[in-house]
Amino acid sequence: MAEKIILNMITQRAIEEGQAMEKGKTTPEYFRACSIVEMNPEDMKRLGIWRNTNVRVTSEAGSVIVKAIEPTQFCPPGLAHIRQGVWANQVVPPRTQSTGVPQYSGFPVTIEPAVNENIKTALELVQGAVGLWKGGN
Amino acid sequence: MPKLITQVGCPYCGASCDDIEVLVSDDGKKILETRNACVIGNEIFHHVSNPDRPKKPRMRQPDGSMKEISYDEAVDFAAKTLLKAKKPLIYGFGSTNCEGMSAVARVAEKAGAVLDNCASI
Repeated sequence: MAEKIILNMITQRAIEEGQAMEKGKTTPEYFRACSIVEMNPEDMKRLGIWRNTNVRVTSEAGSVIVKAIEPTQFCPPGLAHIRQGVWANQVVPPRTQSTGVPQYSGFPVTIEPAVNENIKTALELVQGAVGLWKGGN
Repeated sequence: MPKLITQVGCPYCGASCDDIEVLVSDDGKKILETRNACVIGNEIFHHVSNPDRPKKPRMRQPDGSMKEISYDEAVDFAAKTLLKAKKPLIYGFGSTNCEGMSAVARVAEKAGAVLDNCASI
């Protein structure tokens, strides 16, 4: 059992994310759909966590607390997936390598258990990033 | 009697479904049901009659809250912002219809702005 593991992160679309986004990015549906990281059960075992445990995901660009869930689609050991959105964007490296597109997929992240930490809401993450967050929900 | 409108185009993704059927209420103001759409398309059509949907432009106030303003005020504010900008960039327009995009393109041309949309990422 390791205290932290390094996985290859991809952030991609998901139909659940699209459905929730059309309802609104501040809705509980969007929170449930996007504040998660999909990991193979083998990796969860290596990390010593149960499914639906909060974890801290850290990349070279930043860090975010999300809930680790079992994959809803194909996700082999070594790969981690956060659905595109506010939470994923906290760890996406801004470099574009001259393509005009940030590196949304294929960057290393460190994942460690964060059982006692809360997942921030979309508004808190976005407004907090520019110093506008005033608390509340 | 609710009316079933057939062969409706879905405005969302590149699959360009044009076989959506939409059940509209008596007065034609509320969408009751969609058929043949995926969950995203279904959500889009129902979003139209969602009471929480902002229907007027809103401006952020100094205390951080949002206040509804008239279209005239919003146009005035946007025009002044574009005039002040040295290198204006106009970006957005996912799920915007063709008429809306062509109007934005005309504004961008007059303002000397760079026009970009979500397709670039």
